[in-house]
Amino acid sequence: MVRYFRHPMFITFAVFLILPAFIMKLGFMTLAIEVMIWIIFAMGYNILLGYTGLPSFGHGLFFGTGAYICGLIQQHIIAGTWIPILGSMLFCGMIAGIVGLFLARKRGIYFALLTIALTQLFFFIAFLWDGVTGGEDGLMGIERYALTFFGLFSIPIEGILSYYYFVFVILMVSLILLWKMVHSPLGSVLYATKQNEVRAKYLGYNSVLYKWIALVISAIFAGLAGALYAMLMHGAFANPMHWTKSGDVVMMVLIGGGLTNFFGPILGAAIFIAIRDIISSITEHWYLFYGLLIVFIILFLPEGILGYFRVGHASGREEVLEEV
Amino acid sequence: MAILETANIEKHFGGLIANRDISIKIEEGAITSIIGPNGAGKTTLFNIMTGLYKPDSGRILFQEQDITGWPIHKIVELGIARSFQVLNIFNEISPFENIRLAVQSRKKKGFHFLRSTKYFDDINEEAETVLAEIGLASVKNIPTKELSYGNKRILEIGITLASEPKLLLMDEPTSGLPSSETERIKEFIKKISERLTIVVIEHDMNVVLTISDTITVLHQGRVIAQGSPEEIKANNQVQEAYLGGID
Amino acid sequence: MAEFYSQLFNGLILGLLFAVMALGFMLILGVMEVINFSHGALFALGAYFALTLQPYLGYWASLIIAPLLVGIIGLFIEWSAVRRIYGKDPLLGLLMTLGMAMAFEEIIRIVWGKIGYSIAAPKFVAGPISLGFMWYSKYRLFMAALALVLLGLVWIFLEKTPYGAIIKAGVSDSEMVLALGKNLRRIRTVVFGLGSALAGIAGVIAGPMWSLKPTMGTEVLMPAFVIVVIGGIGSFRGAVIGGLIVGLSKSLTVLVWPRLSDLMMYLVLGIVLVVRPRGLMGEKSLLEQ
Repeated sequence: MVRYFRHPMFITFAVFLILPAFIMKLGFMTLAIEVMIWIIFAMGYNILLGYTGLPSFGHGLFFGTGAYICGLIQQHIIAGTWIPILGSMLFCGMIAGIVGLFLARKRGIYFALLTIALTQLFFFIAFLWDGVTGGEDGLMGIERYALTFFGLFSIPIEGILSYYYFVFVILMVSLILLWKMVHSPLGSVLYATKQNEVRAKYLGYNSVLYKWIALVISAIFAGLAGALYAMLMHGAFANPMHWTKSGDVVMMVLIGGGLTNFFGPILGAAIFIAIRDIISSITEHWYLFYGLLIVFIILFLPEGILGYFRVGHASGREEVLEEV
Repeated sequence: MAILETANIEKHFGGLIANRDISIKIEEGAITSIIGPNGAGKTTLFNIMTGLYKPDSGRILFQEQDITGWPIHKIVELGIARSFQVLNIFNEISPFENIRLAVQSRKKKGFHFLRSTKYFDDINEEAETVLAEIGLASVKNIPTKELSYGNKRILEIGITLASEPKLLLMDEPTSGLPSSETERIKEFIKKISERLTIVVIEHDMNVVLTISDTITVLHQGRVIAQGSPEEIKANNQVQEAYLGGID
Repeated sequence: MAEFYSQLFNGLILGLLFAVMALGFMLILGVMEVINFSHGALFALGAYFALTLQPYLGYWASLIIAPLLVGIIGLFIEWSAVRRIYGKDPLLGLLMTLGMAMAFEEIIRIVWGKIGYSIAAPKFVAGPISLGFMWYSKYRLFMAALALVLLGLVWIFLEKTPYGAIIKAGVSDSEMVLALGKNLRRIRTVVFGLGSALAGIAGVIAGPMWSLKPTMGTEVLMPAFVIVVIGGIGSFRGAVIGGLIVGLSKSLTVLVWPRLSDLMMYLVLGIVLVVRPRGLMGEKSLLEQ
């Protein structure tokens, strides 16, 4: 039983469970929620990058679209919380499903090129279609409506603390789902496809279909994260879809060591947002330091922090599993 | 009866003709060897038979079903497995996982996404059985990349066996191995040939002449001879093109 | 009608300039398999260097020296960082050059400030000229001439020099280039420097047409990117044709629906990808599959 408490998953939950007690008074709650949201995004994205080996450089597309769809559903269809979130996930899954018909046959640098072009296309659509998206000003007025459970009872999440725990619960559910997925037959095939696609095909796996599935899964989690982010910020913006922002989630995965460890993105997202917040509070030229930091990380720490300390098996499967 | 049949296969790469008018029949239950000098089009033929390349013209029939132009995974599902000249295994995971993936595919469990692989007892047991058969049970959990070269070769054959194919295509299974290991592979091929049809591309004439029931000789993309080991040994054209000459 | 001709000319000239940009980007992509995100920042640096140098050196000297400086910066980043990630996960190259792009953009902000500048066109091409059916900017025609000369020089380099033969081989088959062994390192450095210099000179030429601002690099990178995918990776003709298509699609959309002019090239890209996934002139390369 004690071993469960040492499990990274348990530690993550425990930390985020008690965190508000320490940061509530310091005014870091929004930042902490942001970290949790980016963890959801990065962990879902890592299914595609770390486990399937597809270097998408345009996942901001799904994050941004998720945010818009959440707001649009709230404002045009139903003023609630569940439906807009689920709608965002579904819509992003559908977009990924459509573009995936084309993308899933690609890999490597060509895959990256196409995802960049794609996210730019969506960026401009969002930016220019201001009648629907609010254009440059963003889509404002996204609310955190009380959660209702089949009309039986409802829980308000407008307050920062209650929204924190709402996101926390979603984070827990997401991580458990992703953990199960990674260790399932599906996860094993994705990882096999990353290592050696030809062999995977010769074992009888339809690798293109599996890559398509990985893309859709990652997009669904990105849509979820985007919707939560829209509710946090009370608005949706085109900015996350711009290619210059698309590197953020990739860096989070990489800093933590997500290519080699399931839990890497948790550490990566926390560190990324902390660094961004610290540098930008010290200097207005934080882009310079951030840019140089990226270069140095790629040069000297390409496997990320957990990779550097040799934590976890290359696959993030098996060994961590044995500990439980 | 022929399990696999090619009819007038043609394949060009730019100006290079890799296969021309290849029509062969692979007899069920036999060991067929395909030999020929480098560049004769042997591997290309395997690639075409298994759907990696599409032929420019010609047809491929497996158990009398036309599989020309099918995607690889569909062809594999019918019961064709393949090993490669250059090792083609999953290096980052354990030998057990390598084999397990093959069994999992055959049992069509790849899309389960909420249950851990360790709870699929039937798959895991069969993987253990295959590991025992190929003699890698003792190293099943170390990273595959740390296996010896010979064991990696064996593992690749194990992967193909775990798919329980009806037809196994082996591309130079002994390439790069010392003679002691070659012997081990040779015995192994003989053993498994009792339950499935094997086609093997091989350079080692000692292996070819002792294991084959039939030998097909390719030269410059064409079939120049076909027959039993004795017939091939006696064939002048083969002597000229291959055994005595160029290579 | 004059409006149409004027936008047609704008589009063609913009296209030629984009083609120069895209060629540098493509050379680096083709030979190193690195998507160079800092290419736009190098373009911006070229423009800013020219801004600073012109008062002292005059137009012609800064036209040569500013791109040379950018080329040297290119050589430096290749030597100090980029060469370490050749052959590794493509993502590392993407992120590294993205980091560089951010850093360069911020350096521009620190050195030259946030405000925009405009460079005056040199006197001998200032003002408009009558083409019979319309008046048109002399400088833009001069730009077209410069861009054509540059494209010609790149073409000669690729087609008529031994370096060019190797580089072209590398674009379609990096294994062939690998066979070169030791020379490969030098070739890669040269290509990176050359590609950077092309970005730099495009920046110098574009300076008088656009206002200079720190984000100009970010804005100009995407056209280069789209051109390469439209034209096909590794094709000189593809880059030129792609450049013209992107330039024209941008400027002609202005006539019909100005708001969509930034979006149009992505739509064209989408259509090209559906009809011809490897680009108009592209050959199947290692980058695809």
